[in-house]
Amino acid sequence: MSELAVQDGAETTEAPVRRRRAPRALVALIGASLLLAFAWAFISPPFQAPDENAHFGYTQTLAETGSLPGKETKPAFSTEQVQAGSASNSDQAAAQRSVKMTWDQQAYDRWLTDDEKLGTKGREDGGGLNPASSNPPLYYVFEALPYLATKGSDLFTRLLAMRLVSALWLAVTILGAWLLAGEVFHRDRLLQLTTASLVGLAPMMSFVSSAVTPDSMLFAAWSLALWLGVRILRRGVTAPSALALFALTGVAIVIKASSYALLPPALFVVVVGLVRRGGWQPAVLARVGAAVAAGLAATVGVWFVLAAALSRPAAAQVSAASSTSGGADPREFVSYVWQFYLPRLPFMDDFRSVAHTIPVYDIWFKGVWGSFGWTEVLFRNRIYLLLLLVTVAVVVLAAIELWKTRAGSDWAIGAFLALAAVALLGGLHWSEYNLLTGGASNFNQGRYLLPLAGIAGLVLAFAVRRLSPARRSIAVGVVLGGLMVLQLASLSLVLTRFYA
Amino acid sequence: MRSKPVLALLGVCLLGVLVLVVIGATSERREAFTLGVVPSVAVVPLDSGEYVCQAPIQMPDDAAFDRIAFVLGTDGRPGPAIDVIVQPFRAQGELGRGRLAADYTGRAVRHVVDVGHVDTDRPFQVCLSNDGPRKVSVYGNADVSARASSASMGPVPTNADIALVFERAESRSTLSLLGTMLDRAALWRASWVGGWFMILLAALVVLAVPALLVRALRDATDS
Repeated sequence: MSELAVQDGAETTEAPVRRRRAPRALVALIGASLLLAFAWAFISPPFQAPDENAHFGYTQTLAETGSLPGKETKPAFSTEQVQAGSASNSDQAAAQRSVKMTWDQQAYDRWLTDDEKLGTKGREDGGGLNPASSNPPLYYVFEALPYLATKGSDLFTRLLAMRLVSALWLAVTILGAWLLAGEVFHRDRLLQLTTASLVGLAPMMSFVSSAVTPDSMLFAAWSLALWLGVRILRRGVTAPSALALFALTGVAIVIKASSYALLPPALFVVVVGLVRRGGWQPAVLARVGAAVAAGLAATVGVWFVLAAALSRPAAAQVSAASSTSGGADPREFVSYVWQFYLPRLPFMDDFRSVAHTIPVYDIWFKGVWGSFGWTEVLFRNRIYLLLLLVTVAVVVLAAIELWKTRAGSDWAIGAFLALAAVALLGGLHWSEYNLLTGGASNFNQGRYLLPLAGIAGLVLAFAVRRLSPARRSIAVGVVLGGLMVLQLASLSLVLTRFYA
Repeated sequence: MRSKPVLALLGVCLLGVLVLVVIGATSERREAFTLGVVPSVAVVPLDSGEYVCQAPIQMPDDAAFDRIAFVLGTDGRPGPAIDVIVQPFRAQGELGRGRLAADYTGRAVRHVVDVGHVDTDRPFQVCLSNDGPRKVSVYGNADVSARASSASMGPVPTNADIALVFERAESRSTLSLLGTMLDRAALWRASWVGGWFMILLAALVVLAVPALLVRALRDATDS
């Protein structure tokens, strides 16, 4: 990867006019990915994505009343939302494979008539505790825009508008992955397309991005943060770049608390960047340090001040996941992590799990490749076994490529990306361990790993680079075709689950 | 040489679509529709001569049925015969009728009874009547499970829903249901979204997405 530094000079001599034009491959990929995401927005039934009802309720409270939800005295959802969920059967169908949506046109017509009579009062009486009510507000402020733009319409029109606008974040996520691959692969268009295609065309990315959930915005923030981190490692740290990285990290935290995992890798980037600048001059340290602080203050800081003013916990999810009933036991935590990835050893206490086999397969692997609805819509196991085979082949090829090119690689880029992955995984496992020991059920879902999609895209691109140059483009053709087929299969699966 | 990657892309797409079409054409479905009630618990105990009715039920479009499935539990002894009657809601007459023979056993066992072809756009009710000497339990769930209908024993509400599944005599391929599925998927969206829109969207996805990917691949290969 360090060979990129040699090419930097050549890149900077390119004509500025040419640089301004977006690559056509990127534009076409974004077009295809958005079309698929929009299809998901129309096919996936209302409120049949994890916690979509809670995220809608949050936005509705914010848009209708200007306040944040979480008031214990209020109902979780507005009268309008409760009636819509009941009439469409979406409440009952959630996570119940044998229960369908209401198919009856007359039931819809009746609901529409009732909804018109309800008036604005029926929209404003929600705002209580729900699974999303402790979330930071940034995503919901953004989603309030399509909600308000369609305020004169019925609830399902507003939900659809919110989904379509949310799906636009996928374009930013793809852009981030494209830029990330550009830094890693010397702007090799084919490898950039490979990386970004996995991010844009993987069915779970489309499904989650096109639902009303902060995850869509979260993927975009992580995608850009990973790119910025690699960019700084390649080009050197400056105060503006440190400001941008930490502002982005702060934005990610204000979208979802799991983004605290971005702090260690971001700090790593700045420290390595400073070391590579060849010294710790006070002036440089002060400038970069001030930039880091300003980036966080302008984002997380503002949220903390706002939360304090509203008497609201700023990081409720983190504190909830960190509090255990009996106190954390490091040995027990290691045992839990072991059992997540490997078969339990005889001397280990059994950690209860919803997984049928090993959680890494049932929760992470299946969840990343295809776990729709409220995670109850799954392919047959043989499809996952086929995907496992392909995934292992890709990882092995990528590992060989990385090993063979290690001499010219920049260890810091690898360490940064690995740290981001480990920090996210560590946070998720710590949360789940605490919840399990507190008597709760499994918390982790495959979609929680999707912020790392850009890294997965890089692995795929490394595997493609292992092939001879003549075969690379054919392999990318197969990758694009395979992802398209997986998309169609996933859409068909959801269609038959709810409507056949 | 750049046609090879494009051929690979389109070849995989075509092959994948063919496989999906074959799967859709060969996978068969008997279920016409369901009330969406999970048979989790015994909700209605039926003594000899008693009956329970689930009403009102509205048949969705393209969901005519011939058989009704439900779940019964006995206390270990052979279960009684059950009459299954389909009637118009709050009206005279009979739309269908069937009978489950006596002497079945087991807790929470699914039974399917032929009731004749039923196709109506009016609300109806399904009644299960115990025509034997012994008690039997009907499975279902809480009353909120099927919001539009409820189970009652005569005028007395049971505060529960019976788990009923309506099936066709002849199974249909999933592929033959595609148009119906798209129509159903268009409900509970913006009011301007109809079946025609979903068909257009499906066509757009199948045609435009590969075209855009070909464009992306060509440009990346040329670069």
